[in-house]
Amino acid sequence: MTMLLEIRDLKVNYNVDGHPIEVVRGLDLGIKKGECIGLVGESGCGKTTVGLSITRLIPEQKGGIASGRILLEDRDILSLDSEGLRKIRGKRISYVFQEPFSSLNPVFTIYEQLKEALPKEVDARQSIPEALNNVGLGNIVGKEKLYPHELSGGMQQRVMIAMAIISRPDLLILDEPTTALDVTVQSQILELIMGLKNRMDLAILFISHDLRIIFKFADRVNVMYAGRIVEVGPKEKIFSHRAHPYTRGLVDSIPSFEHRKKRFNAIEGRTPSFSDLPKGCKFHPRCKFRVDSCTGREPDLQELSSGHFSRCIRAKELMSNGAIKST
Amino acid sequence: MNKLVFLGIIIVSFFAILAIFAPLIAPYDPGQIDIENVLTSPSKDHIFGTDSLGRDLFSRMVYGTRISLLVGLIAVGISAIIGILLGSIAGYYGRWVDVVIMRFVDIMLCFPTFFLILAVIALLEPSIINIMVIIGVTSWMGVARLIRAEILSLKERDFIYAERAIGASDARIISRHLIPNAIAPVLVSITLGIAAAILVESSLSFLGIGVQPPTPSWGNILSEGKSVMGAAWWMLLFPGMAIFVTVMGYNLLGEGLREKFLKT
Amino acid sequence: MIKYIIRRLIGLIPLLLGITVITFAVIHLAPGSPTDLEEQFNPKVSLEVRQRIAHLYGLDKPLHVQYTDWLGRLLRLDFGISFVDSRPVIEKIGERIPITLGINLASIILILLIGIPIGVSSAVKEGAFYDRFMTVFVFIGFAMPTFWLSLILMDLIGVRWGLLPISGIKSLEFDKFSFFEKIIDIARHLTLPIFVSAFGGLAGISRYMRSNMVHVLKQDYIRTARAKGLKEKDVIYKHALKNALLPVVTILGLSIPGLIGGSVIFESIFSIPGMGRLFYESVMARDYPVIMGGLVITAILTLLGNLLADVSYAAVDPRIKLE
Repeated sequence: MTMLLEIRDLKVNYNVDGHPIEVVRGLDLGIKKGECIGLVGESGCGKTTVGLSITRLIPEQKGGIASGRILLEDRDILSLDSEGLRKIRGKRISYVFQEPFSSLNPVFTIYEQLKEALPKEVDARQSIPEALNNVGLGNIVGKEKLYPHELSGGMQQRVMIAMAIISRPDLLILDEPTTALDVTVQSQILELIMGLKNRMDLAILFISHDLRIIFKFADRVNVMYAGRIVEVGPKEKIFSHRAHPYTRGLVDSIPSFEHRKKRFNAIEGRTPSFSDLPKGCKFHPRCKFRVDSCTGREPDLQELSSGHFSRCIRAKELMSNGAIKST
Repeated sequence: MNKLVFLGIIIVSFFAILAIFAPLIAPYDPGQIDIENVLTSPSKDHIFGTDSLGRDLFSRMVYGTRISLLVGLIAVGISAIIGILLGSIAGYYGRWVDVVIMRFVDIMLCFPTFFLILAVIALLEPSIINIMVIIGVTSWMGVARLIRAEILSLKERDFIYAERAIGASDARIISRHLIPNAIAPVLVSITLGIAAAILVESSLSFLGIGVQPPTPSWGNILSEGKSVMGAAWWMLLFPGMAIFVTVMGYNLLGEGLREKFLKT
Repeated sequence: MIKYIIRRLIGLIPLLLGITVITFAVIHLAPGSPTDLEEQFNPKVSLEVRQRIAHLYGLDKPLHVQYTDWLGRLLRLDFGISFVDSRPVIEKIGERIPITLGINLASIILILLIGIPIGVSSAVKEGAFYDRFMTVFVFIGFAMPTFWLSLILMDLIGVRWGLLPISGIKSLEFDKFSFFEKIIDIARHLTLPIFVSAFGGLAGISRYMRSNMVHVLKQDYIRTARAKGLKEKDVIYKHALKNALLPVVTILGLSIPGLIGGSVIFESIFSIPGMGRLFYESVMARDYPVIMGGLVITAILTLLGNLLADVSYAAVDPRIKLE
């Protein structure tokens, strides 16, 4: 399978009080056609920024892409002019955001907003009911004059999804699509998305802080910390090997009923601020396994096995479970 | 600090100095009539020219600063006192007290302010004190609403419960704790209110029902300027300029305060 | 909608009552009583004559009786007779209000036509030189005293350059003009007053529009619109503008009291026979029936303006359902 989207060494700055701060610090990511890629990390690690950068949705005053390349089927889309960019947005790459209520324009009807997502040649009267049926909103076909505030949160998110897929894009970028929804609705929406993915052969970039969801739906998982990927690989390998201390911490901190532990396993310490990052490995201040060389140079991603990479210099030791000494 | 705010501070201070040190700054007695030099254009002797009674315009304008600032400050002071009092009572006690006071505010706001001021001025002789009181008594509504809103949100805070628990009286709670914390948006309103009051006073003086000649007010000098229009441009330009710059200064200051308070 | 309007109108009744009370109080409780003026005009007037005048106008009855009498007459739309020319107050006010409202309407239209684009473009170019320049310009507009502006324009354009007439609303030869010439004549006379009236309001609207627009442009749905691949033009002028424009709809209704109050100055300066100038003249002549009538009528107009503002807002914002 060929690469649909390839991000190479992406660096993104944000303007804080007039100074640019690097928030994405050299990120590589690849998505194949029809693949579901998870991008997971704590809030503030830069994962949303990565998603928005793909089609340059970050407002100019807030920040911008400093360097790197993003290739859509081998064409660099970062160098596209605004006209070229427009042809990709919504048509080849679509988004579903976290807050469906504020992501829909309150003064236009659902019908109008769906119609805008269609190319001119397509007949709206047919495509819109079809799209609504596809997202499980068959009951509002015919009532598209409704406004967003007249729908529940779950229904609004379904509308967002309909808007995203109505032009049959190649890649769907989901940024915490269910975090703002009720728990009961969350799994419905996720099932819907996965169903659509299979039927339409959609590639998905699933951005979330919730490991459980990522492990359920993604094929490959990228773990992000402080602006860079720290571990990437097929989800089974990530889950079983946990070849980076941060991944280990994330997986261990998933509360679970089976283990009957008396305490939560939170990761010690706090995420560092981007204007004050530690030297060397960015995770080392919080890491149980750190050694002296962790404070030297920031490690590169090393390949542990086919398709599985980690940025920890002690990764191989970590993978042989139990044989490692914490310091 | 924002450049514009700084400019506002400079302007306000400048006029304050003019007002305070008027006798030292004005070259002539503002009331000194000089029939020989009626309506002369600006010259070395009279840098702003003279008016229709030969009085030095510059000196009259410097003394006019006193009037404008005095009226502005006191009128706004009166409106602030009334507004803070009514607003805090309404906000603190709530229920029917609140309803009655706020209805009163609504009713007062129905009248075009200037009409109300005119109507009352008509009944009294126009003296500086009357003007100050009337402007104050017709412009307190905004402050009242602001204070009430702030107090409504403040009075449920823990530190207020603590004060009540130790038995502090209502008056003490209101004056020592609620008002100081609610004051920020009111300061903005007061600053902008001074600008508005100065405009109202000059308008009234211009119409002849404000400060009466021979006391110099920028407004009544302009009124004189109107009657000699075409013949003495300096009578129109300088007083109007003074009003304009002063009002601008207070507006800049007020906007600057607003930005500063928004950030905190 | 109709039910809402009716309910609001009923709710206005206590306010209307309050307005009449305040109006009455202001006139009758202030130190100068209506008959004092008579005395000022004619100090030699004897006590007996004064008493007769007082009785004629019902001024010797106790205050609360006077109030209820007056209120009763108001309800029959009898605002009394002017002290100055004995014409019915309602007639005098009635012939002046349309002129004032007309000028104000024209200036509101001007304000909206110019102010909204300025505000929108300032927001879109937030932080750029254009934006900062407009901010300065707006401050100047806020601070400019209308009577000064009127006088300067009058002096320059009217007196020195003679481009536009500066007094009244029609020329002396008005009746000899053809229909078309009459329209032009009125337009020429009204140009300066409308411009002056609009000048300050322009600053307000463009500032308000700008801050609405800036706020709207930061919203998530704008990001969605861009993510859908819409043209930037559509993002701004379709998605953002409609949201930012919603509150502006209320401006028409809410600016009524400010405009009526402001009309006093420029109507006096430009000798326009409007409500403002009538009120001013009545105040100078202590014509109490007209003063009271003017206060009540303009207060009612303000209330109606507020109602109009609420109704228009509900009409354009789909999220608002009138209860």
